[in-house]
Amino acid sequence: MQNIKTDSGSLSGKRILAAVLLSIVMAAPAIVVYRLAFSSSHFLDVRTGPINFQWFVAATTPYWLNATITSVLLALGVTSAAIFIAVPAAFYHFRWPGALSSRAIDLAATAILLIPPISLAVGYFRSFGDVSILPLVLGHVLLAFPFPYFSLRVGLASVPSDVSDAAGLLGASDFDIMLRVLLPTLRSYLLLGALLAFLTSWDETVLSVFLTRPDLVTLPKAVWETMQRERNLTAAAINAIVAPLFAISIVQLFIQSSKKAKL
Amino acid sequence: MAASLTARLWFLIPVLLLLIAGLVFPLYSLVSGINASPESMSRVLSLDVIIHVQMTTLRIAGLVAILSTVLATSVTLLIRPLTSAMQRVALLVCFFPLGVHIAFRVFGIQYLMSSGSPFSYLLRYVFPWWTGDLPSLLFTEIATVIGLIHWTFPTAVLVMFPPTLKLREDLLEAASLLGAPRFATLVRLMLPLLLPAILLTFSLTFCLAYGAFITPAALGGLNDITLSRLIGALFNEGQSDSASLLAMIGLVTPLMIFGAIYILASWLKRRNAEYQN
Repeated sequence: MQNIKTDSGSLSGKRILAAVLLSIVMAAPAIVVYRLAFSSSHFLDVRTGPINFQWFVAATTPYWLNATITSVLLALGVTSAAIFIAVPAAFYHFRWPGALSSRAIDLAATAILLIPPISLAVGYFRSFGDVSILPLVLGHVLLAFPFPYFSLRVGLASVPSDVSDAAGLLGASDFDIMLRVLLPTLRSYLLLGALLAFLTSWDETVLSVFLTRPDLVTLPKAVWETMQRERNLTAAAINAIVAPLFAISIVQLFIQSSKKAKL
Repeated sequence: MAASLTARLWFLIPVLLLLIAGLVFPLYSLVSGINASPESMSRVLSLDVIIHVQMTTLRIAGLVAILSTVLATSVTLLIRPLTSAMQRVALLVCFFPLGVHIAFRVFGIQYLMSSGSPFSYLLRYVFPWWTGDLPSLLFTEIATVIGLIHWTFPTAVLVMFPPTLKLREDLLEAASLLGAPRFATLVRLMLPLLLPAILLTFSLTFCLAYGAFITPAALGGLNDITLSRLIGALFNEGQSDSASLLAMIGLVTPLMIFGAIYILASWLKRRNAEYQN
């Protein structure tokens, strides 16, 4: 197989083939879901029937529309809250890196990534009882917070300290340095963090299933419950629309951030 | 000085409020909620069951973490020398599952493992001498492991890719100029430099797999119940004392394992920095 020229020499066709095959294997379940979205069958069978748009039509019924709108609003609210909390926290770490509190926030953010959501769900149930929306929002914000926080931390690490020092010497307050000097240079990191926070809330199923009352239906809860009860593939249609948007956005922002970090 | 302290506090207040309300308070409730006597607890759950479930969960999480880390390391090393455009395409394929809801991804895997799926045709092709029914992978530990690898792989690539991109080109070129074969460069230069990232990827994927609920619930069988599934079952049955006890175990185990690996990775990172200087 012909070799392909890359940035740093040539790469054998066999290695490219291996990478492509592995990637296809990893993407296969998602591809199945994609085909199911256009299926005319009620069963998990990608071979039956011609391409059909029935599940896209079903996605406009009130149940699914409400679940989608609830999830979008929840995810937008959670993302905003996570950003609002992560920006000052990341800046605090940048400004006072040696402080014990900085290390404690780092530790807590890492711990949040590692805690099983089901353990958190039991703790929330013990704390808040049968209150539906508050623990759900709080749990989502908590689970989403580490993504913009760590993304901004990586971005801030690539900013030369001279920039903030110069702004400080020119009389800018810490808030001004954060909002008017550093934040505009960290747009791609902020967007990557925001997107990952949005996806965390959008995808979070465990808290939604265990903590919400029947009248509050988020999309993950609707997907999980309908897929267990019946073979309703409506959410596959919703996924077929949003999945490529998410994937392209993540790659674009991730590459930008990685390149900046490399510099 | 007082003004500076006030300014510092303003930066900290939002995150402190979140951590107190969203983490400390629920965890305190979890610990204080375990007030059942050992006798009443043993009526619901025996120690043998807890140990069995914990060992099953550790085994599955360990296997997933090893395989996911190996796959992510291989893929990122393959992607690394590609042009930016090709890197984008490769990462797009790796990250595509992130946009697909987890419940659908596992049902996609369910389909791929069912009889009559393309996967079963592939098995027939690989094992043509097999005349009877092929053993079903669905609702087994293997299905859970495959599902969890698929779930943790994008995260593993996210963690592995930046350090792989940062590998110093001059070191690799020096090794090549000195006549080191590709395999020796990989094993004796690249992998030791990437070891801290590999360890972090391993520990992160381990913790994700350990705490996973949806994938084991959709793909696992009755013989390989994980801790999260057991907590979920007890929670649904209203056995909140037992669920709290297991939730505490589920909380402490990944944190301890991550802590131990993090200390090791930090030490290796410091040693690598000295080596590169």
